[in-house]
Amino acid sequence: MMIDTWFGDPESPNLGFLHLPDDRRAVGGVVICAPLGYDQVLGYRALRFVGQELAARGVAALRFDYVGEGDAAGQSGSAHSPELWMSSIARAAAYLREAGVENIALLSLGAGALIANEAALTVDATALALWDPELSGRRFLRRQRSLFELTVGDHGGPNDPNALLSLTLHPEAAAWLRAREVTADALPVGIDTLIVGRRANDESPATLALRSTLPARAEYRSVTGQEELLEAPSSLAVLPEETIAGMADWLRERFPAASVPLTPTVTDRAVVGEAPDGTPVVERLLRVGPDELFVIETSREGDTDSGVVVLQPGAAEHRVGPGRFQVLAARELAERGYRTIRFDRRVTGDTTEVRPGEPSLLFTEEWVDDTDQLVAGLGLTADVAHAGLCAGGWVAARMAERRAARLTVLFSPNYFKTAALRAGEYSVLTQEERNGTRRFSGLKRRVRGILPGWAWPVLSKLQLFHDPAVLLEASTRRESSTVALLLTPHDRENFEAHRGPDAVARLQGKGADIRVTNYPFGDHSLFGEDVRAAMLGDLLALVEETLPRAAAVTAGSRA
Amino acid sequence: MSMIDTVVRVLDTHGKLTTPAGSLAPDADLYAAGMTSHASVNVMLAVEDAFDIEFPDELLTKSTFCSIGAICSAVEGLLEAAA
Repeated sequence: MMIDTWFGDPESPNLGFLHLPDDRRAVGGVVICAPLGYDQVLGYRALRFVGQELAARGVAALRFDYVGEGDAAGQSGSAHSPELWMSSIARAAAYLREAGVENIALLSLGAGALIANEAALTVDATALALWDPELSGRRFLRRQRSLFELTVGDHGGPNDPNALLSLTLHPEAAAWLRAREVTADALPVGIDTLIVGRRANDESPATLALRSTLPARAEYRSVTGQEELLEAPSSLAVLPEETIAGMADWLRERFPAASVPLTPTVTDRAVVGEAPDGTPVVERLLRVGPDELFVIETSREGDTDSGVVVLQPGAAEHRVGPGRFQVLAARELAERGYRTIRFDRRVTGDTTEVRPGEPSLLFTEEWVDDTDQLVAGLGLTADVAHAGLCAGGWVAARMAERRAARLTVLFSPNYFKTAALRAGEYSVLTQEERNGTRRFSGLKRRVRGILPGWAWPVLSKLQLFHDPAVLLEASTRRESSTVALLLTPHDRENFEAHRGPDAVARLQGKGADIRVTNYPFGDHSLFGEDVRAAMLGDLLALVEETLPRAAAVTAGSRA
Repeated sequence: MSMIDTVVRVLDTHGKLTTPAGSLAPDADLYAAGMTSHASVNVMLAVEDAFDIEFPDELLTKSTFCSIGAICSAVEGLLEAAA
């Protein structure tokens, strides 16, 4: 079983997910220390699976967002980030102890090792497991910097020489990380330690040095399969089940045989900010509908009559890394008098248990059903906006076929059919694209260029081609409905290749309020901080233009 | 071991190529041969370890790692600058 709860300091709460054995008794507890950077995005479901596996062995496990990351309170990029990472781990350990856990272990992934290795002694841990650890903070920063340059750097934005992939770091926090290393000398003394490194690094100087001088209570295991988890698109990631089972077994053996009953505190409401007039901004944790979708609702305390904005991430991701734009948008909108909803669709984040081999649901009808289930379950009515990145934007647009919305915002849209894919089909298409074995793509590209204007809408309606007019038709059908497309240069190119400007002109000719914003820089996934900030600003402006604020805010601004 | 042999060995370990690096021409496109951005960063870090060098920011571009020849050329430049 899994419990969603806020914990820690009420002034800056952490969001946590507690995995418990079904009988609510445990032999020990594991604090799962998340990685930093893009590993945090790609490793999210894998760490949930670690929690499940530990609970199945009679061990409690707590996953959480560090303060300033994911859904936790606070801003990223603080000079105090290292203290916040460390104190978040200490709070997680304290939460488990208050629930009744007697023995605590830490498990980290990636750069989480640089933090967990420091924190192990301060939280009096019994054991420490470092999964695919980053052995050098300096090297971690170089890796993230290089990844940013190689994946985002050529998208023409303002050049930030310190930009990292999926991570905002204050120079002081970067300096702290740069000075951290996992070496034999730096391992915590007197604690059983398991290091699970990737086979490809066996011959690296840092790994050779570590392995040749391991202290008595430390063990090193070399494994394969990490690249398939952490270096593949989320739709193609493969869970290294054997590695996870091995770590869970090792941790279980570090605890006594007898279990103790646990009585965890569950807190489903937290204050995460303050509106300009001093009204608290609160977030409530909810489970909605038959699939128990994990939902976070944000509003000013007491506001119940405002417009509602439903936010969705791209790909199969949730709200760490670039996906945190949803958290920032939710809190900013709440401060301005709007209610916002962010949630995990099936097979993402904290909705639905992780099952090895589960298919990706990108661009499937299941995710439209999830959003419909959410809207119905929360009783949302007319004054609703749907906004999402890429696949999330596709779901937002598809929702118009089912329910009215005042505003639909598509960040970086690139899929313009209404026909949904089958579960797992997107992964197959992505793999074919990578292998260069996708059928008809070259032919379609050639035909697309020469197709006469009259034939385009006909073939598009048959879903043979992507056509923005087909996807957006339902969203623009109703009066008082606004649709906004926010396009990075690459998405604009794709939009134009699919005759997007013609589609927009056709829909506008029928009276549709449809707007297209082209950004001169930025990457599709919004790794670039500047394009993310620009789109967030435009979302706020669109919501303010189209949705009613809470009456209390409107009355306040008139006074 | 020659520079090219070292680079080939690094590519075989970290490059995620669909064919052995040794079978590729020096100017063959490594990205077309299956190397991803993530893999190219792993290659970069392993090359740095092997030659005890560090690629400066201006060389962190796809073109630096696009072929065996391009990697060797960048390494030669860095070794010469350090000499």
